[in-house]
Amino acid sequence: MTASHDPSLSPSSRVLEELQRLPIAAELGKTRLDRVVEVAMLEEYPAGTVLFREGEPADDPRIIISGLISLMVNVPHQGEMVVNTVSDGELLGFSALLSRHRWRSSARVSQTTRCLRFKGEALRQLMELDHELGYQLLRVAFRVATERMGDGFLQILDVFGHER
Amino acid sequence: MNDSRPAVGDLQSLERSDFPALLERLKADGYKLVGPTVRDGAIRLQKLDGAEDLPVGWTDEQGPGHYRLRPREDDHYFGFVAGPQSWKRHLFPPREPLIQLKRHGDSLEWRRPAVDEPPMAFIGVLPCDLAAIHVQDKVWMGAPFQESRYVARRRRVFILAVNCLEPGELCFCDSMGTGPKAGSGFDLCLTEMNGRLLVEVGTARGEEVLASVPVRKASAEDRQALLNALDLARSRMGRHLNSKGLPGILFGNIDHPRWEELAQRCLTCGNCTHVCPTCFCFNVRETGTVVDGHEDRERFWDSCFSLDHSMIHGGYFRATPKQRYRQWLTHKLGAWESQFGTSGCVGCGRCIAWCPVGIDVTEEAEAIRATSKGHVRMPPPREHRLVAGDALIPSPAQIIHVREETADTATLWMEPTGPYHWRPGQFNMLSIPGIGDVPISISGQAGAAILHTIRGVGKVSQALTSVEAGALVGMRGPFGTSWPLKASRGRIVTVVAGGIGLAPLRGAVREMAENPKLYPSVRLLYGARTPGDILYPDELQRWGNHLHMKVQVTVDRAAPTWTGHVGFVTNFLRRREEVRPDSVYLLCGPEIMMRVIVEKLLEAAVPEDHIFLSLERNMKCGAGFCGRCQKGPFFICKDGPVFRYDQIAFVFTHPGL
Repeated sequence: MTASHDPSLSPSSRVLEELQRLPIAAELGKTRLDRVVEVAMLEEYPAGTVLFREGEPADDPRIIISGLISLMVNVPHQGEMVVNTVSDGELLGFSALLSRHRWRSSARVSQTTRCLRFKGEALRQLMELDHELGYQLLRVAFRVATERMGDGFLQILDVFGHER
Repeated sequence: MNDSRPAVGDLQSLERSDFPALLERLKADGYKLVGPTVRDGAIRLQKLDGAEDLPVGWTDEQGPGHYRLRPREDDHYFGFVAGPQSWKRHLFPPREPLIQLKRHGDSLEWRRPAVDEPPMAFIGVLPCDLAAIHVQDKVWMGAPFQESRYVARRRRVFILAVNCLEPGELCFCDSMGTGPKAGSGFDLCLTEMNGRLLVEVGTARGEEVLASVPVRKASAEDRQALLNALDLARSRMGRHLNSKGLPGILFGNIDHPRWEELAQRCLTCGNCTHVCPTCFCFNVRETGTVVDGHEDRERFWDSCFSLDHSMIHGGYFRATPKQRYRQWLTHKLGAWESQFGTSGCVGCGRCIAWCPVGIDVTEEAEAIRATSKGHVRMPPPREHRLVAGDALIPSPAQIIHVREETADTATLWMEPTGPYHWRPGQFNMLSIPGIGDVPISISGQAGAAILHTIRGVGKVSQALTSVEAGALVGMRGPFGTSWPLKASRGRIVTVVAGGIGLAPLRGAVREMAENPKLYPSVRLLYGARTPGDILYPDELQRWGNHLHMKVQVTVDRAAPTWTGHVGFVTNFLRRREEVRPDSVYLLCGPEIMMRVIVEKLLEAAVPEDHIFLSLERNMKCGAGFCGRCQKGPFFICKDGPVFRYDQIAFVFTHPGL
C-alpha cells in the first residue's frame, strides 16, 4: 500500500504527492504538473465496485495507485469474461484521452483500489490548449496501448495451452 | 624376406603379390575383415573374405547426383573414391539394440547388450574417412559421457588406411585438411604404386602385423615418388571449400535468402545425412511388448531432415525444408566447430554425389560467403568433465506418491536406486517400459523422493501422469546445467515462469524461499492459462507470505469470479520502473514467452548476462549423442537446459534453429 495520508495535506497536495511518485511527473515538469493536479482527485473503491461499463461514453481516465481492476467484456452465450487486469501504477481507461470514445470493456474493482481520477473533459481541454502537454500524455497512453496490445497477442495465442 | 624389421614411423615397400598375406594375417589374429567390395553397382563396405573381394580393377565416376562404377585399365585394389557407405555403419550401426529390460518378479533391470562381435579390421580406409572416424570419436568418446558400445567396438578396430592418389570430381579433402595423405590414427597406411604398395607403420600393432609379410625399407626414390603422387592428387581435387571463418559466416547469415532458394531444390530426403561419414543423429523406438516377453529399446539412424527430428509434443521446431537444410549445413560446416573443435565435414563429397538433385555443399557455402551480410563470433568448444558410467541405462525408481496438480499435470514422488544428487534446473530421462522415455525437469525433493511435475502431452508423458503409487519406472540422470543460485546470492532475483515452466524453477525458488539471508529479495512472476492450471497454488501462497518474497500470478483467461490478475505474464513488466537492471532474471516457459520477456528486459537496460533461461527440445538420449536437441552450436542436454542469455543471444531469437 502506498501514501502516508498526511491529514494536514490539502486534497490537491495529496494528488500532487501521488503524481510525483509516477515517472510522468518528471516528464511533465512543474507547471504542467500543477495544471494536471487541478483536474485530478484521489478516490478509493471497495472490491465489487463497477467503475464503468462497456459501451458507455469514455469519460475519466485513472491511474491506479494500489489495488486491482478487472476489465471485462460481455461475450454472447458466455457472459462476462475478464480479459485483462490493471494494477499499481498503471493507466486505466486510456481511450478517455480521446474525445467521443466509448469504453470497450467494463471495469470492476477486484481488490480494494486507490486511484487518481482525472476529469476527462477538463483534461482533454488542457491537452488541446497545450499540445506539448497533450503530446506527453498521449505518448504515455500510446506506450500503454502498445504494450497491452502486445501482451494481448500472447494472451490470445494461448501459449500455455500448447506449450512451446 | 624381411630385409629390415618395420618400426612405427617407417615407410616400407610391399610387393603387390604379398598383400593378400597381410589380410590373412589379420584374419588369423581374429579380426573380421571389413572393406570395400563391388556390390549392387557400387563399392560398399562389407565383410571381406580376403584380398580377392576388394574392387580390383574398378573405379567410380562421381558428379552431383551421379555415381557409376567403371572398369580401370589396371588392377589396383584401391583405385576408387568414396562410395555410398562409410565406416560409421560398422561402429555406429544403422540399427542396434540400445537397452534390454528384464523383469524379475516385481523388479526391473535395464541393461545394455554387450558387444559380442569379433574385432574388426577396416581395410582401405581413405584419408577423408579416417578423419571422419576421428570426428565421430569426438561425438561418442568425448565428454561428459562416452557411448559404451561405440567405445567397445572402436577400441578394437585395426585400421589399414590408404592414401588417396586419385581424388574424384567431388573431392575436397585438401580444403578440409583431411587428405589426400592419411593423418594419424591408422595402424598401417598403404599407398598403391604401380605393382607394389608402400606401407607406413602407425602403431606397434601395425608393426607386428607387417612383420609377418615380406617387406623392404622404402628407398629415397620411393619416398619422393609418394610425395609427388600426393602433390599430384592435391592438384586434382574436383571441389574446393574455403572453410576459413565459415561457422561465423553461416551463423551470421541465418536469414540469408540463399536458404530459401535452396529449399526450393532440396527434397529433404536425408540422403546426405545417411551417406555422410560423420552424421550421428539417431532416434529410438521401443520394440517388443510384455506379451512378447521382451521390452527392448532400439536405436536407429535418424536425420535432421525428418520432421520428427524436431518434434516436441505435436509441434515442430524446424517445420520447413529451409529450416531443416539450414540446420544440416550450419551444423556440419559451422556448429560442429563449437561442439567438437573440428568441422563436421571431411570433404569426401558423398553428400553431393548422393543428393538426388545434386545440391553441392561447396557451392552453397561459397554462395553464402560471397554475399555474406556479416558474421558472428562463435563460442569456443566447451569443456565437459567426463562422467563415469553408461548414461543410457535407466535405473528403476519407485513411484511412492502421485499428486494431481491440474487436469493434465501430475507430480510424481520417485525414489531412485541409490544415492542421488541434483541441482535445481537439471532434468532426468524418465522411462516407461514399452512406451519410451522423455526428459522431465526435476521439480524438487521430499526426503529421499525426487519430484517430477509432468504435463501429459505426449505418449510417454501421458503414460507417466497415469502411473500409480507403487509402480516402477526407469530414471537416468541428472543431466544438464542448473540455475545460477550460488552466483545470485545477495542479489535481487526475479523469476518469471509460464505454464509448466514453473516446475523446472521450483527447486530454485524453494532454495531461495528457505534462505532469506542469502536471497534477500525474490520476486516470482507466474503466468498460467486459467486459474485451474496454476501449479502449486498452496506453495505459491506460502512463498508470498515470506517477507523477502513477492509472488504475482496471472492467468490468460478467467471467469468473473476470479479476483486475481488476468493477462499475459508480461503484464507484470509493463511498468518500466519495475524492471530492475540490477536483478538476476531466471526465465522458464514457452520460448515465445521468454523471447518477449528478454526483449522487455533488454529495453529496460538489463544486461544480457543477468538473464538466464531454460530451453527445451526433442531429446532421445539426454547425453549429447542423439543430436536432436541442438540449438545452433548448443546441445540443450549437456550445454543447457539453463543458459545465460548473452551466450545464446545470437541463436535464440531465430525461428527454426
